[in-house]
Amino acid sequence: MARRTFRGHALVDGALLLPLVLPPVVTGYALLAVLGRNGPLGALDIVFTWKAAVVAAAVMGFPLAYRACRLAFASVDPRLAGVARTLGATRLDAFRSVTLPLARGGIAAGAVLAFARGVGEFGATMVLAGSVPGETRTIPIAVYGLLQHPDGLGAAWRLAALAAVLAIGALIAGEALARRGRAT
Amino acid sequence: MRITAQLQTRLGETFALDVVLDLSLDGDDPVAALFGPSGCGKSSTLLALAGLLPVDGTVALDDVPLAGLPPEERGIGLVPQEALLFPHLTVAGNLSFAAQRARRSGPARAAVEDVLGLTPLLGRRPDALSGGERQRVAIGRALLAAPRLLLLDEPVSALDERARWSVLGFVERVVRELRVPTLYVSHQREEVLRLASVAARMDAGRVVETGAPDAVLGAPSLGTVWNLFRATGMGDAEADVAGRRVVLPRPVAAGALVWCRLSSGAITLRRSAPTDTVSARNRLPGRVVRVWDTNDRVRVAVDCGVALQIDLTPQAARELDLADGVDVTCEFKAHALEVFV
Repeated sequence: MARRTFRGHALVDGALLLPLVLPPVVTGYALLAVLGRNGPLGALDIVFTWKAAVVAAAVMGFPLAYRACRLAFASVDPRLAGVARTLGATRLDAFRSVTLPLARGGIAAGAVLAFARGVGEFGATMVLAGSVPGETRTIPIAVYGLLQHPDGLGAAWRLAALAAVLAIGALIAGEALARRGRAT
Repeated sequence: MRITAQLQTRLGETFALDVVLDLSLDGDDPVAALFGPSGCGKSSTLLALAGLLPVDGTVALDDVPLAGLPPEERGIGLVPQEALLFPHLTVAGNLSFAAQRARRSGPARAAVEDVLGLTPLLGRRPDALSGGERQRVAIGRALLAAPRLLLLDEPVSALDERARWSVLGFVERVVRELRVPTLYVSHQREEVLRLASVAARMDAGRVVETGAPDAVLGAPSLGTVWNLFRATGMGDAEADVAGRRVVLPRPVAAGALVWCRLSSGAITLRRSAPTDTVSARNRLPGRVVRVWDTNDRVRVAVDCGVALQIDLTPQAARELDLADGVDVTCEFKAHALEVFV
């Protein structure tokens, strides 16, 4: 996606980035339509299990990781892989030993961003996985639940602080990885 | 080594590459040059030979066809203008990358490191190298992949004058000591004359002339030319050039070997030895070996022990009544010479 253009390139690119701009609840509803009991993948029977929470977080985080990877690969000079091939490397070898290591920093930064997005995921998780205690109740969903009760405020603050620590840690890690990627 | 190629492709809207190349390299002096102005298609020709630019046509080394083979199976090494070292590997890592993937036996690693002076650089990262050092590493890396043919794409054009002559010296050593058949691309006349035993001149995507470098490069419409020759320092500002004493613009150590560069327009020709004092410090007797017209002047090749080309106005050439075999004296000021160590 970073190097080649083909018919429908923009369309595929747009589709891969769609969860970034769609309202999360709408994305969750679309996933439910696919994975729900009557959907085409209903046989997997994962709705309202922890697996559904994972799918929701992954789908919502994917565009961030995808975009970071695309930028990381696009920033590697393609002529380096060409030179590698004149030195005897096959196309796959040149990708593995030249392009991939040079894009590594950006890829890792994208993974961290996607992780942070997944930790904060609410809308799609709520629709696809619900709020089953000990099974699908994520930090944001738990905070939302606690805020519904007057005596839950203390616990909500503690969870909010934990979420903030995770998010800030992820941002710092992502920035450090991206910088290391630029330096090499 | 014989390099034959027929390459056709369109590059962009207006540029068509239509190259017919047939170069024979002899084993002792195996450098051919591809010469021509910037943008004439030299680099694209190299990319096509290396298999990195898809083109129609044929490529063969010693009549073994290579067209259709991927770059890694062609045995053609490429040193690009910007060196393109792998930035995530050290110098040693860059060299190992090639050595590990070599598909036949080639020059020994120790020999390559020695000839190119790479040993002190091995632990460094590419971004900690100077431009000249990067080019030397890139040449070493290409050699360690054991190519049957090495392509050098203007490897010194991005360097300053001092680094340029230094790297050229290393290229010369590589060629002389490791004898790797090389196709050297340049738009610099003096580089071609110094390195190549055969040259092809390109213009607008085509090879227009192939032959001995001085004949190919001396062709019409190339403008002023640089005469290039070696001199041995004699102490002070004097040097020995093919047995003749020449005054240099600056002192050179006795016994030191230097390169001298002299513009064809900076030399005066005289039919007889001067009877009175002249300001030019250098007077080399010689014999005319060739006279030909270029666009707006007459170019005269004179053998003074070294070959010099001199540009004259057509009127001056007529008055001197020059012809092959005529004895003349070439005069030039010491300051017209540029000296490179």
